[in-house]
Amino acid sequence: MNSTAKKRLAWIGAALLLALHLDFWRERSTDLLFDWLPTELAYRIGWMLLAFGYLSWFCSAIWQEDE
Amino acid sequence: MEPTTSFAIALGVYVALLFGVGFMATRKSSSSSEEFFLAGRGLKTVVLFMALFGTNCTAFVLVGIPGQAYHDGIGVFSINAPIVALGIPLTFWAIGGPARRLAKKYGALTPAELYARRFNSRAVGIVLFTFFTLYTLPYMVTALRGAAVTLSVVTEGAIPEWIAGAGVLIVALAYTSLGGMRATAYTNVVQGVLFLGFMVAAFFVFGNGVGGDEGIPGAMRKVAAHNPDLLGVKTTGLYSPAAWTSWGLALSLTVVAFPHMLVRLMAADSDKSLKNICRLYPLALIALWTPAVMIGVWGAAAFPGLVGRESDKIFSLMVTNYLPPALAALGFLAVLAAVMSTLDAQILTLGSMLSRDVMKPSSNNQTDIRRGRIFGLFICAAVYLLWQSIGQSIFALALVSFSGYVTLTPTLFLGLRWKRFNATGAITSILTANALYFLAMHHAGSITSAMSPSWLGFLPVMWGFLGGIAGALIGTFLSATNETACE
Repeated sequence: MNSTAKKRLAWIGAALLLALHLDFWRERSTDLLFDWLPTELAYRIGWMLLAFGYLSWFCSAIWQEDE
Repeated sequence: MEPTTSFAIALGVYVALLFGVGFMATRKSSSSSEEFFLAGRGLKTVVLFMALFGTNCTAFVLVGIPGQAYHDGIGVFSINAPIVALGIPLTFWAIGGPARRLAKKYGALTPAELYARRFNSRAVGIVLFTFFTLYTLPYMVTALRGAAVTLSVVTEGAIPEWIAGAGVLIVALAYTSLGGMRATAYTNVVQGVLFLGFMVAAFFVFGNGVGGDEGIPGAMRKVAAHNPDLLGVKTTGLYSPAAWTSWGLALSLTVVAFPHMLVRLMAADSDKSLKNICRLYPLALIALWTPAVMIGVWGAAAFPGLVGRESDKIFSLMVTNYLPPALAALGFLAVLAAVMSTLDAQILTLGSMLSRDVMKPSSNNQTDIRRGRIFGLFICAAVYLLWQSIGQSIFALALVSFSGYVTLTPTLFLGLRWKRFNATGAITSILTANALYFLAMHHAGSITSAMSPSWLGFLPVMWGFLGGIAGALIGTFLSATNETACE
């Protein structure tokens, strides 16, 4: 993948994460998953793990040390 | 063993450890200004991460967030932790990386000095120093008050707040003056391990305490039975779409504009270390924020009926009711560690800015370091006097400060990423941003209404940020091109 494509992917990834964070379109549940895990907490921690994956990729693919 | 005795022993060991680390850093740190103020620009991944994370996380996360979650539930996690996990690392890339490289190139030791040299304008340095200081002092006062109250409560009033506050400042000033940035970074490792380790352990211990035989699942079910709304997100106030969006903006952008954070980024040994920090940040935030919020949510089921700010006591209630005395002592020490890991960085950074940005930097390293130490003492005296004279209204000012840093981010970012951006643009940006920020707060109720919706429902920080961008563009395009090139 060339550098322009990587940059485009970085923007798309960030926008996607932002859309998933500004999730007013989603019904925010107060239910417990598996009868013990709050759905809301699971969703946010899942989002943070996605952000971890995105940042790991971003630091390797986008962040040039000599930029 | 009595709880007070356990705490006294733990406190003694902790202070001895801080002095030990500070003393170890003394010899190396006194060799040059760069060593003293920036640890020789040599902080590697582990120490750098703990220095940044320790500085970033204040006692508010340990005490204030559980108090807020007691009333608002898991929504407190939703609105804060995720966006911070993404926003802060991206600002480290956008501002921290180039700031580190350019500071090294120019030999700058403080953030204000970096931008003064970048724009070849002492005025930019002074304006930045002024706003950095204005926004940092109230922040320091709230931290100091938190530490003083904690010490006084744990010792059951044996140490009055005014002595506790003075003691915290003296200890932080002593090891900061001894070993400069290196001492504060190494002590932050001790402090970070202490409060992060405690919070992770507390999650399991408190979960089992509240849930009884059913453990953490039982604690969750107890909350569902007590008040299921605590497991979701509110839809009004700070949780309404416009306020949520602007709060996300504030959280993402403000941390990199703390001068005590930016200076630590400048102390990194390489971009490789900075990248490692960015990768670690989301995981560390999950480890810190999940327990912090759940302490409040579980606490609401275990100790119902706390009204308003009374809920700030929930951390203490959980600690004293569910932990044995020795571990409870560690809990209170964790709060103290979180306060001091931020306070030491602020003392050093404001002291160094007074020494190098307000006064002309000395060509003699020892004079520079001596000035930094003396100004550190001035800063501590100012913080102590402010605390004693302003009292409770400092909380409103601290909220103004937290969002206020965002008014500086357009200048911090464009100064490193846009060649044409010049000194006029920088000053116009900062002044316009702050004027709009305060006008928006005034519109929202009063000039300290940082957390109340203003025009179109957005928080004042959003308007300050937009004003900063507009000011930067207008100031730059209406003035002559600056010839000093950035990276």
